[in-house]
Amino acid sequence: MALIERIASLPARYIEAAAGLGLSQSQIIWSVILPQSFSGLVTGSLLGLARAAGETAPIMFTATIFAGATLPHGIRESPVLSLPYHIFILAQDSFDPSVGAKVWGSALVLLGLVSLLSLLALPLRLKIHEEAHHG
Amino acid sequence: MVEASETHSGKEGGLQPSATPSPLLETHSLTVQAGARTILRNVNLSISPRQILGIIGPSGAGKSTLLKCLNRLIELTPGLHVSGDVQFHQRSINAPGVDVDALRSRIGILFQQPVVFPKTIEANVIFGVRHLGRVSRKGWPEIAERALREAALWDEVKDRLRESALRLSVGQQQRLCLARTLAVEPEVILMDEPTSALDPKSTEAIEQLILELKCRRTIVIVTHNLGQARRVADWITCLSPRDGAGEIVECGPCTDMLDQPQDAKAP
Repeated sequence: MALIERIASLPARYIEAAAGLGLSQSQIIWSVILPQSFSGLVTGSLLGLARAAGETAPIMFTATIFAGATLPHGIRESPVLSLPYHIFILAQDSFDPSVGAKVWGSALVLLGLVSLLSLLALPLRLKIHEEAHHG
Repeated sequence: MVEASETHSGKEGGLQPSATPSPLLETHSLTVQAGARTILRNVNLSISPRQILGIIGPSGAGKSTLLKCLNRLIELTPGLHVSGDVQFHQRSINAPGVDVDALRSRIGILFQQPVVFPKTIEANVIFGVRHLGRVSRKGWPEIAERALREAALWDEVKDRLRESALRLSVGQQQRLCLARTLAVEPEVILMDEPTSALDPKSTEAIEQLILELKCRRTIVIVTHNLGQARRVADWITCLSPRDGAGEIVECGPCTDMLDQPQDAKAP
């Protein structure tokens, strides 16, 4: 997202100027488009990494506590549940009234995680946006 | 419509070869359309070597479009259809097998607003040269110095070549862009209202440069400033919109045309 926004905001005049000097299309990509979208590239990658890391935590949480999973023995074997799926199974499979509390608890954890990640990403996104349109 | 004669010689005869020079750049029935709308209609031009051709006319007459057709930069604007032909050294620039990047390095362009890259001054000057790969890395400083001298910027920036080019004033940035274009050693330089964003002092500097460059290069300058056209151009073409499409309404040597316009639409 951050990278795409950065590239789209690159003024066409840079590309025209480079083409006007006789640069080929690939040279324009390497020397104009990529360097100028580099900050977007880095922040985009960081955001993606942070998100992946953050989402690993709830998976580990459901896997170890609820499903009691061990390391998988094969690629197709998936002993680990993601948090949303954990909530879904709890809500659907169990008629035990005490499960209700677990469902709400899990949902709250999920909600908390998503809000936390979004909040963390917000200032970064704002900064990228600012750079893209005024830098 | 008055066409540029192919046999004219420049205003200052001393700079032209005594024999009639064959035109360096010509357009034949050049027409540009955007969908159903015609932007330029049937433009025939002929530009001799080491001549300064001024293109004047009101806004919307297709002056910049015409300029961009001359080095095929127009192809970067989507949705335009170009018909007719442009010939450079008597060979069509649209012919199959023409290397468009090489063509653009031989026909450089200077825009209305200076476009400097967010790099150092030196990196900006050699931006075109380094990618064309004609000169080794060792030769870059020399080329940068020569181009900056030619653009009359060297004395102002020689001590801060490693500083960001964005710190320069707009007038200096425009001369930096000119230096960047000159470093590639184009035969023709197209200038699209190069001084309209500049203050009078920078304008004067650029005009002076144009006059100095003319003994070595061919220049096509679009301007809406008649005074400027009179000061720098040898030959003038006036474009005017007719039914929404730009056409040449008058064309001739600078002095004749500005003093005795033959067409009511000419300025």
